[in-house]
Amino acid sequence: MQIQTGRLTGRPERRAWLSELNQGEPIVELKNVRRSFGDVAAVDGVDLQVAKGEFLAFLGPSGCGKTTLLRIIAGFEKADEGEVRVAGVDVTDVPPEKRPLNMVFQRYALFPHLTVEDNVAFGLRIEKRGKQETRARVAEMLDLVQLSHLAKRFPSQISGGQAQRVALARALARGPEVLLLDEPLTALDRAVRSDLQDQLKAIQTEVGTTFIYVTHDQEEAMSMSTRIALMNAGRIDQLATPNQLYRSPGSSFAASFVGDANILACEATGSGSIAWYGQEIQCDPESIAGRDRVRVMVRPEDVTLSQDGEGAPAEVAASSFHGFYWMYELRIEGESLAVRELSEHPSVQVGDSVRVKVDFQRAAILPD
Amino acid sequence: MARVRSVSGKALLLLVLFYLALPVLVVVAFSFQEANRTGLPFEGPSLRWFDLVVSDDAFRNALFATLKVAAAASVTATAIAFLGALATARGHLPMPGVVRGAGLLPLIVPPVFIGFAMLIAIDEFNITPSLFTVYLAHTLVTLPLAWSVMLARFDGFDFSVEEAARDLGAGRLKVLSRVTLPMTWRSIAGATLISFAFSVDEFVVTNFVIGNENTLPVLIFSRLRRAVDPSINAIATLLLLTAILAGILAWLVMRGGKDEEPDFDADSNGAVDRPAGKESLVV
Repeated sequence: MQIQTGRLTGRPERRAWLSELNQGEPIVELKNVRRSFGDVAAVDGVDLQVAKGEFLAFLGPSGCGKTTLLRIIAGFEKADEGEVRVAGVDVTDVPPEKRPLNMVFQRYALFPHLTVEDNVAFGLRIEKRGKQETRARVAEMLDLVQLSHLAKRFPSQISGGQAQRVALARALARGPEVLLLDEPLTALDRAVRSDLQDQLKAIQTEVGTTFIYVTHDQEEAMSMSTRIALMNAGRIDQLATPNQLYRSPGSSFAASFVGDANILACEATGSGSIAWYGQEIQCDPESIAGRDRVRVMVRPEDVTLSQDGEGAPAEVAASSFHGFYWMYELRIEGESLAVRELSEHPSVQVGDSVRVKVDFQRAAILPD
Repeated sequence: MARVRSVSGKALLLLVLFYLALPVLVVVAFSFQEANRTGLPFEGPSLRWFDLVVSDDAFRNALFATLKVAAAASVTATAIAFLGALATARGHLPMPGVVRGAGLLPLIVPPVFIGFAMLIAIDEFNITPSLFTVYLAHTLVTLPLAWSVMLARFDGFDFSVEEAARDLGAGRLKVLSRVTLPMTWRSIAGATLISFAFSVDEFVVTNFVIGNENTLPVLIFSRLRRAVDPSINAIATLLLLTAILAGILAWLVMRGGKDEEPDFDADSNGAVDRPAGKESLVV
């Protein structure tokens, strides 16, 4: 069995991405940015280039530094070290009001004493754009977020979902180079949230502004963004497209944070192949050089219950129904293995002895 | 507040309220007395004493002094309280708990002590007791009132609106004038009026530091020592009226909305909004 190289190199192809990016001038560039609070390094040396027009997500668990990093780009936090460039200009020491970017806050942060349209007009009035231009721009922005009918309302008279759309219109009104979004949908309930995800994505495509989007919700990051910067403990663990991140996680953290993952301990059999319960897999010798045990990540949907009596023997320990698929938790010699099966009816019961096969074509070797 | 239900409970409540209001009512009633005495039988009503008081220079000077001091002290105390509470809530100050408590301290220290201490202090600095020292003293004693109003306002104040304003291009002064002040003006006005009402009838501390000047409470006290003159009833009534008016005004201003603070719980009570044509079909 031959495994596609490139997927099994263990590490994602960061260099390739960077060189692709460099064809255009990066709109946001971070160089070795660090920020500590007391003894805790919230951002611990981040280098990043964001391409113009891209939808980049900072994804990670709480406390990983993603919000701090966003606030450093916005100018609300100062980096202890490093450099921040926006649109080719070094803004490291520029206060937030003078940076060519705008932000959408988690709790909307609308001005409660101003109407919806005055909220949207706020930045334009500070800039002293003409009355005509301001009015036209406000109308355009409210139209963009489909809230023209609420222009005269106050923030206390609209719903949370509407409030966040007003905040979006307000932030886009000045035509920023980059829009920063700090977990903008976290405060909303599920139905509103998924609607707004679609709208945000559509609006981003329409206006073409670069979006940098902080979220702890991996599904949100996967479905909306062009690239994901997966963060862990103040560093970017992996920078990749959603597909790369899902298929070729660069670490066991990435493998388990994004989607469900099985991490299998395989044995290297020499000559560039590895073995797992009788399945032998040929892979890129370089990726496993000098290792006798190799950890391989495989998604639950890539594990199948074998019908032909071959494969690793296992026992069904638990099963659960998720609407359009079943999840089984299998036990193989004390190790657990998750299996996703697209079906409405369960094909096995808890306690059954089964045999499983892993589709190693779709697996990824993890670094040690 | 729990409602008082039993008849005896209601009677007791009325009795207590009557007891509290009686002295006030007596003074107010006798200020409209025609006869030259404070006592029954009641003759009148008449505005004679008010007439006398209003044309009395000593009274007019004292009234003017009282209002001047109250206005200056309440504005100063509120300004200090606004800036202090803002800095405390923003987390700009070390030991915010201590700072919060310090602002309330003049409320706990006995007024006699404050008056005495201030008298010694101004003497130490070679300042002659005057309306200016009364102003200093009143700023001190009204500060806790303004302080607690402003602290309450900034408790739970969502400072991300200030960040949003900066993000939209506003410098620090514009953030203050376009966002922070408009959002807190009710509390600022309320704090000023409450401090004003307190200053107008402050007597104990005032008496220590006033020197040869007079405010209304001091005037009343000095006249009482000579004889019980019915004009005092009129002065006291006017003083009461000023304080009550300021109090009512403060209540009206602050009641008109706990400043504007949005409440986004609307999502759960039917205001969920979706663009037309995006209803999902659940089978």
